[in-house]
Amino acid sequence: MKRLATTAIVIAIAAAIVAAVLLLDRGVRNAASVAAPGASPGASIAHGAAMAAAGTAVPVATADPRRVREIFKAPWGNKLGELGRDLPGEGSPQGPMSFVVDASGQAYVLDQVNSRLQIFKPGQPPRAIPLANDGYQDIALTSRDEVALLDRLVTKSVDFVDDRGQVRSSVPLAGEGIEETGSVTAMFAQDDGIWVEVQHSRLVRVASADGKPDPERPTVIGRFSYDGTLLLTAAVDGDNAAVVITKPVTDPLSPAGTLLARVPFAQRLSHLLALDSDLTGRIFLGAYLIQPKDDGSGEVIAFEQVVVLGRDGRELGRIALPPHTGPEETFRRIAVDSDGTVYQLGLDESGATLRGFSP
Amino acid sequence: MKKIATATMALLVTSSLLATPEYMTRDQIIQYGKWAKGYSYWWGGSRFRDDHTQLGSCSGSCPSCSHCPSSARNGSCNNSLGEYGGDCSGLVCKAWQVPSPVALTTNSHPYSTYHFRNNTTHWSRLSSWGNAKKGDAFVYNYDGHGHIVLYEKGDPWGLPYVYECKGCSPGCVYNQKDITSSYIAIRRVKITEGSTAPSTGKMMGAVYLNKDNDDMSERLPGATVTASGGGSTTAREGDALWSFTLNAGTYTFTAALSGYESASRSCTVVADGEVWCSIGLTPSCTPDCSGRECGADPVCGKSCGTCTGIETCSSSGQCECVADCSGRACGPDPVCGLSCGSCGDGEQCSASGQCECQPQCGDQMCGLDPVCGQSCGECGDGSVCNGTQCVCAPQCGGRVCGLDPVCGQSCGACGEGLLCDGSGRCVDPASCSAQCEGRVCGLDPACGKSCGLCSAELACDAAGQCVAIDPSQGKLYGYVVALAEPGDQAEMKAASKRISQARVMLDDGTSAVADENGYFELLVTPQQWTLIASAAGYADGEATCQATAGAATECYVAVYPALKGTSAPEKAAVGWHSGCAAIEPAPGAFPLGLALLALLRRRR
Repeated sequence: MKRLATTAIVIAIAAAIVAAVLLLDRGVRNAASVAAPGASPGASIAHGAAMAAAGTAVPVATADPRRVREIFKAPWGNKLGELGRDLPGEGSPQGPMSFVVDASGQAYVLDQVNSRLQIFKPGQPPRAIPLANDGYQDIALTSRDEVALLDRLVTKSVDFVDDRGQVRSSVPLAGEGIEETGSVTAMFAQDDGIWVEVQHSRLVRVASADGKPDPERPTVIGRFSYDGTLLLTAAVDGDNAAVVITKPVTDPLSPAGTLLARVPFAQRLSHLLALDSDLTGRIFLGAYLIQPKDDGSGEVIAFEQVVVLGRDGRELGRIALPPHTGPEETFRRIAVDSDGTVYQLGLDESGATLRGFSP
Repeated sequence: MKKIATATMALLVTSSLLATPEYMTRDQIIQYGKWAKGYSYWWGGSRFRDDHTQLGSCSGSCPSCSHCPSSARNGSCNNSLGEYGGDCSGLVCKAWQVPSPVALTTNSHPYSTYHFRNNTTHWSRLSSWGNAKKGDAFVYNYDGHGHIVLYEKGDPWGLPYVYECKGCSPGCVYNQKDITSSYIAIRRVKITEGSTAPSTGKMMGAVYLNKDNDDMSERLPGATVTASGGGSTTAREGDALWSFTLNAGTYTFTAALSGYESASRSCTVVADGEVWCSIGLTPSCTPDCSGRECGADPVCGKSCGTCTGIETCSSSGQCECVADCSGRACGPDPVCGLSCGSCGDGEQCSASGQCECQPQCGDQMCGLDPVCGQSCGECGDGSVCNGTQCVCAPQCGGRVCGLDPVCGQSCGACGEGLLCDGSGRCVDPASCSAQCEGRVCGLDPACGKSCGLCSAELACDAAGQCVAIDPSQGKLYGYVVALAEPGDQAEMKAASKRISQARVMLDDGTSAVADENGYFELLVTPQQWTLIASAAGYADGEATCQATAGAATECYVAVYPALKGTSAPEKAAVGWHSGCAAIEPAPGAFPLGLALLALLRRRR
């Protein structure tokens, strides 16, 4: 039985890679032979980037391999440069829960399994910041160059740690606007403080920029656009589509908004993975798509896409990403930089790989 | 520890096959998740409280359990918070109350993620986890690792909110969770939707080209799928999927499509569940039975017919009887009647199929043939084999003289001066008194003596009376005499020795016995007759005479002294003949003995 399961997973992974390579092969044939900037020695080549017209993912970067970059590749383990993965016998499997890339290109990876934060900077060896808590699930970099860590379930707090891992301050999550800490779905660092998202629909500011509890805990409907002018919300619309709704940030509490786009998908939309924007106003919608197998096993085939929308809602293209098919729980594995680079922390049997895709 | 727990779990699973869960609402299932929230993670355990006190003391292998006082963590947690909590599968076992109801506070853990992932004991798999409802579960299990969560709802992004016993640090929690394709969705049986127990379920599947393997990739859209008990649908375009919503129970689903052989499967609809029942079709085929009457056609492998009776189908598709010539060299085989071979010259095939010497019997009726020494036949009752022929078997009984009444052969001769009476006894003529009462002619019945002679123009009737000769007949009369060698009538009339008690026989079987003086007479149809005389101690003789209508013809017959030491055939062979040529008798006209005698005469 185990052999069968192993074989099935190997086949699934192989199929995913083949699918991604095929997509890439439609226009990025040379990408396989070009080392991505910042790739660590021996790192595998980047694959899986594609961008397309509405509905179908096609290659994103045609003949320009620079549009697919491998930031780092870390094997599973607990040594420096390795990332922790926990697959318990009867418990929740987990890999690195979240990551963030700063303006200098440093990637902060929440290696909570090893109770640490690892920082990967292109061209330099990784470094680690030890953490006292293995229950963190999200990370944000504050305007004061501090690290804010979200723990929804154990300490149920947002902790601010310094570069040695010491918790400088801890702000409780529960309170006004957040009755159930498990319903927190994201954390964002804004100039005015730390906002946490509840049920993918509203933001609650829980802490000030200096890490103190926000006594007011203001709420807005949606999440901020990069330029701070809009509030974005997204929702699944039926089995095969999602909608993106915007409204001006000046109307933070109104549930009403403007339907910017209805995004169809060829496969069933299981859930959304990301809703982000860049400096130019482009909106990025990440989606996890599934296609049930017809063999009665109840298993599904997974796909991941990022749909790129213009400010006006017009679809600019799609990026097909290698889907996460392992069991590991993650909290954030797709993020978008100010220039529109889409980062994906991909997990497989060998380890974790952070790639950047430039649309 | 893990082995003990696994064994215990296996026993519980085995016993649980006999148990039955009760109906639950989805809210009831979720309530168990709510009760479990906040409790410790306890590997192999499942024990909670509804008052949220005693949240567990990190029983088992959780050194970093969040419920222990920080001073007591890292393996030395005391039991002040009680032995409560559970692991992921323990929570779902409890929430689903499978295999049967169990108290929230009772530690019971009958199923692991392996069972939830791989079995369908009291739950079914959903075709896609996009169809999950409150109270369903998502499970994965692979390579010794597994996890299961209790689904409550999805958020606007479609991400699930679940109850789960996550691990040592968080314990049992309620949270939004990332689910990947490693998981499948499963649904407990016997879920009551609202206040009504569900009775229907979904049966679905694909119609595909059957390649006799697991390959279902070639779909056959447009196929008609029917369910036993009524209802049909069409496999949709593209992936050829079909579905029915039916009352729970077992149905036969049949798929049919032009150009393909119809196929059926029996599948069971589970109440409030989705069950797959894909059906593979094979292309229909036109058999080529040309030149074949049986067996499989070479194109489709379909039957071209079957053979009946003793015939079997040959490799070329012909019904044939397979001969059984084992142990046989010739003749027909006992199964089909076909030849097992032929024999050479001078041989014949026996009943057992062996070539044997062929007897050369010719006209030989009995005895051994001269070539093979085999029997040429057996004689019937009343006859004996004289070496080559069946002859009448004399039946003398108590007779010691005269002729036997069957064959007319001699039963012996009386001594000189003795008379053979009518019973075949030798009597002294002097002592035997003729008993001719009322008779004037013919023989007396006691001694066979003459009662008198009629005049030539009269005939002696059966009553011993002299009567006129019937005009339609003629009378032949005369004496049996003994001659040393053949002679004519005159010589016979001149013979001095007349033979008493001799038998005179015509070639039609009619006979008369001569009296003590050798006299005889016969009434016959007017024609020429051959008269044969036989007497004990003499060789037969014969004479040919013409009978005239209404008149008497004198006709003597002579017998001749028998040769000593000769056999019966030889005696016959040396008989003498006089008069006209013999007349051919009509077949079957004689009594057997006389006919044989006549035959002997003819062959001679």
